[in-house]
Amino acid sequence: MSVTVWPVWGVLPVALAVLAFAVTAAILDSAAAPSGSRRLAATVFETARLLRQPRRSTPAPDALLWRIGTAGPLMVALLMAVVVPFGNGVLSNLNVGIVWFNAMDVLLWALWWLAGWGPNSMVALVGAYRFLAQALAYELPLMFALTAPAVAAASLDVTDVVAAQHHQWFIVQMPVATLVFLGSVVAYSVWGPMSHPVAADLAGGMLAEPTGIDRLVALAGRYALLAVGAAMAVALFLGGGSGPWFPAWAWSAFKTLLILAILVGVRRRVPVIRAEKFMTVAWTVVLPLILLQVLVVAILAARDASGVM
Amino acid sequence: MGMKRTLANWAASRPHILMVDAPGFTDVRIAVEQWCLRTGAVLVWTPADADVLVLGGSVEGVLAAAAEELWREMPGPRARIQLDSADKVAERLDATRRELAAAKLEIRGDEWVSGAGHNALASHDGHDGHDMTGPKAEHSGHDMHAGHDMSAMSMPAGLDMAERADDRDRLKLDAVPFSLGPVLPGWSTGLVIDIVLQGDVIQSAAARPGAAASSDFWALHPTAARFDCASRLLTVLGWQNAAASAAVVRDHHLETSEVAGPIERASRLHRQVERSRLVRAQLTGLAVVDGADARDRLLRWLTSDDDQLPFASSINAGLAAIQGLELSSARLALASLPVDLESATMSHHAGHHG
Repeated sequence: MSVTVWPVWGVLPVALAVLAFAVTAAILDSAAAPSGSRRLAATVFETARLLRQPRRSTPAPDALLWRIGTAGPLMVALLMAVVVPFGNGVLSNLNVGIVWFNAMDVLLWALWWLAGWGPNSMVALVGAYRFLAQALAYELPLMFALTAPAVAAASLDVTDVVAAQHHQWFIVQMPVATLVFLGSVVAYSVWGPMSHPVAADLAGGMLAEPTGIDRLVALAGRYALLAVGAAMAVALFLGGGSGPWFPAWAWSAFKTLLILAILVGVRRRVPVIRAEKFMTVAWTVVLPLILLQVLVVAILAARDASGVM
Repeated sequence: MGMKRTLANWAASRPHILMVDAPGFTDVRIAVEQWCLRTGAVLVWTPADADVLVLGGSVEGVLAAAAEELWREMPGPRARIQLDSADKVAERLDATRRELAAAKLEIRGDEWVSGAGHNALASHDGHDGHDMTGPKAEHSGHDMHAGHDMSAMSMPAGLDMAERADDRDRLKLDAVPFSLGPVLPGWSTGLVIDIVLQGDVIQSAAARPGAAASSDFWALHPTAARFDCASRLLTVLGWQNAAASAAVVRDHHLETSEVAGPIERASRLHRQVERSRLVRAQLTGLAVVDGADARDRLLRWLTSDDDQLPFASSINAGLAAIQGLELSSARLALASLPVDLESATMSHHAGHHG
């Protein structure tokens, strides 16, 4: 399976695709609401509402950093998408694509925190620190979850990882890494069970203050992060665009939508996990498990390599 | 023009509603919640995200001040409505929605943006700044003083700096006075608890004597009262589907006194909550009163064959429970020890300092 590297102008269609998946995520989310009329159109209504709403400031905000914080997550999602293969193509087959993806998700530490710092509001700042605690919990497991497919494929290039799943999808060999990766996507998107930084007990926390276009961009950023995370999970663990009968792009789209629907659907079904509880579980249970997973993957890779030689 | 009109209509078809309900007007609150569930309108937690301010019943005193502040902080286009009884709530809210679609953009007077007018800000009878919804966003060193002295003038936006005090490990840390309430998600509206925060840990807490009504609404509907409290606790837990289920069961009990209808749903909810590891992890051992922790109380509320009211006898149990807790645990603890502001016995809550 050869990989097509799209030309530079491909950034536009890729950005549009990311937005399309983000909008799909928003539609899935409102469709899953327990009740209410015209739920499928809710995304349109909410967007119109936020476009019509002017900005409102808080006393003595750090306006520049606040804007960077609210717009940042969408930018991060777009930058991640650069190395995520879709079908047989990719925008950049950077030879350290996995490291790039990881570096982008680390940017979220600063960006989400700025989103909470900017408005000069108590609840927003408490939310921001909750996010940092949460990030301390998910980041190491996420790094090891990204390491596992890289070890198995003996490459940090995401297209190589997809090619290495020619015989068997990595989810079979590394179910723990798959789950940890998806959990981390939910966590860095501040979504569902991992939405403690924007939770009800803080009246919205990090997202209590932005209005109008700022809120629109911040919310779109969350959906875009989920969408790109789902696409990356497909490339890393679900064989990318491989599948019978249909073209590769169709398989990529189908698998991405499936994962995205699962990520979106989890939101209302479980309680929010407090950052401190999450920290305990992440360091005492998840981290040892994912290390064990990487060990197993490394042993299998070494056995395969010596078998070939 | 046509485009603008369409946009306005779309924008108003899912209004975001901020509810300020006076104690004693539970039926109005429930009617508004039901309307929101039916039409897809969204009940929100913060003025930044609100289009419509709904005032339920006779909003007075601290609540009235909070409502004015919330109204001022809503970005607009906005509308407000006063609902004094549960009659015709749906018609009136539908009308408000049309009013919202026609509302014009106002020029916002955020005086702090221009750097001028700090006096105007500080003179909002002590509500410096914004966000009464959240635990009130308060960077000022003193809360609720009628006038700010001159030294405050040099501080950003007229807000004071926090003072410092020993924390539980005897380290000097910023101590920030802050108020929980009077308007919060999953909260007995009208209740105000003044706290001192170091980081996000509560060092001391005291309830402010607040408005109280005398209504026997919940005394007449004990089962509905329990599911209402459960719904609020589940809201604070962030478990939206379960909170919605509890509200549905509550509404069944309010509409018909026969228990057969919602019993299946109630027992399913009870099973779900009982099985949930996340609920167990977060509520077990929290706010133990008379040998029962928050999870025990939640599960008891979700049992249908019980005629007991869910309310704690006074706010003091809650105040004692939240000393030294971090904010989110404190919110859960308080939601698990709800007080009934509506019955006359609650008219004076005593303070409690740790």
